[in-house]
Amino acid sequence: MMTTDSPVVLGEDGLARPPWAAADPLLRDYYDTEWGLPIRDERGLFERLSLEAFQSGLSWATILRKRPAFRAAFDNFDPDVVAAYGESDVQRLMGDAGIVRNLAKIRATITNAAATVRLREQGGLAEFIWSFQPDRTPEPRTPDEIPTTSPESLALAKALRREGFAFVGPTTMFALMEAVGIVDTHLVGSHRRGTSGVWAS
Amino acid sequence: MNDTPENNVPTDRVGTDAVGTKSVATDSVGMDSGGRDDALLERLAPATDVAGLHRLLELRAEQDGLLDVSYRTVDSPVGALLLATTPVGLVRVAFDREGFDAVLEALATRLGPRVLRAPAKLDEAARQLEEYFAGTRTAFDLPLDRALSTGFRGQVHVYLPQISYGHTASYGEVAAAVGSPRAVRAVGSACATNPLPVVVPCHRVLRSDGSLGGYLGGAQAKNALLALEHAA
Repeated sequence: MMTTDSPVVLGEDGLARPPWAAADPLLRDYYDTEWGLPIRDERGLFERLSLEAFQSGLSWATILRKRPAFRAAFDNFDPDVVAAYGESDVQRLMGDAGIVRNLAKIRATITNAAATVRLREQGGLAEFIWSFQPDRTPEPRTPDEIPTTSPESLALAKALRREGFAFVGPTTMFALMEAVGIVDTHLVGSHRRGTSGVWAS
Repeated sequence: MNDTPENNVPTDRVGTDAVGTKSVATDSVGMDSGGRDDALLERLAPATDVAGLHRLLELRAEQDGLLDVSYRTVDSPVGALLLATTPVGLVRVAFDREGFDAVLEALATRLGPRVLRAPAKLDEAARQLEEYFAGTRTAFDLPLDRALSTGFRGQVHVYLPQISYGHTASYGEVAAAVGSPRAVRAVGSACATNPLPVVVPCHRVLRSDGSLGGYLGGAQAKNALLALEHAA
């Protein structure tokens, strides 16, 4: 979703952004203030993992617009609370027009919450996901040089499935790694490159 | 006897550098209770003997199962090393350049605030390291606490001791061995975050072209360890 063949777009403010973040003010603000900045806490990563799963097949703009409703519906993505959801919660969520009403994804979110709680015995979801950080980050000069998967996202997807997670494919996991700062795929020279502080410029 | 000067050790002394205790430990291992230590105290700690007082503190803390992390430092050919252990086993080896205070602070955050310098608990680890650096030991036989190794990094860290003394492997070979043949870069960061360097031999992992690759203890230390093992 983050890749395209077209060149970067210069905004009215004189800043270059990828096309997906250039037009819609919601996406532009998200790109400028959130995307790629490190998330290292369990709740934050569980929320991100869940929203990325809901995104598959849809646009990120759709998820971003619905994010407040998602947070309200899923108890702010508190893993302990979501892990305890039962059938009545599934029915409630399937009736909530504010979110994406996809039964498989809703059930996967509950499954993933339980898996997140179990992972605490191994140091927790945040440590687990960040343990797949490569020692170098891509240095794309053009949008078509931005990968959509990586060996690390493949390994992460495999490892999460082994721990009982669902809806965690390698492409979704690469999008997650980009979004939470584990890799920096901002174009070289863009005003956002290096802003995560994870990678020396 | 509880009101004798010997027993009225001001609790703030416990947190000072003079007795080598991290201040984070003061709340849990204060020395304000009972007469059962009077004999110990007399034997080990005259009122002015800071070392004796510290030894008593160690014993008390150990008896009461109060310590999350015990630590000491040792000298080595690659500089001073910090060794830290939990009740499970050796949990951290750190190089001087990492900053021991920063490392101890991170351990307190991660493993629990009761951190105390207690060399005796690390005698065996220190002895084995000394033998290793003397060239008379080729493998470590110590209980290890893997609490700082998670996920992919955990897989890599658990694999590393299979690269035997005097041998090396490439990052790619390690990636293949843990089931993700192309995740070479994640192996690189796993080696760079090995919490138990020297003991868990990340220094035996080199780039596929034979060049050194990075090392937490610096290139010089990595070279020195490889030279030591090849010479032996």
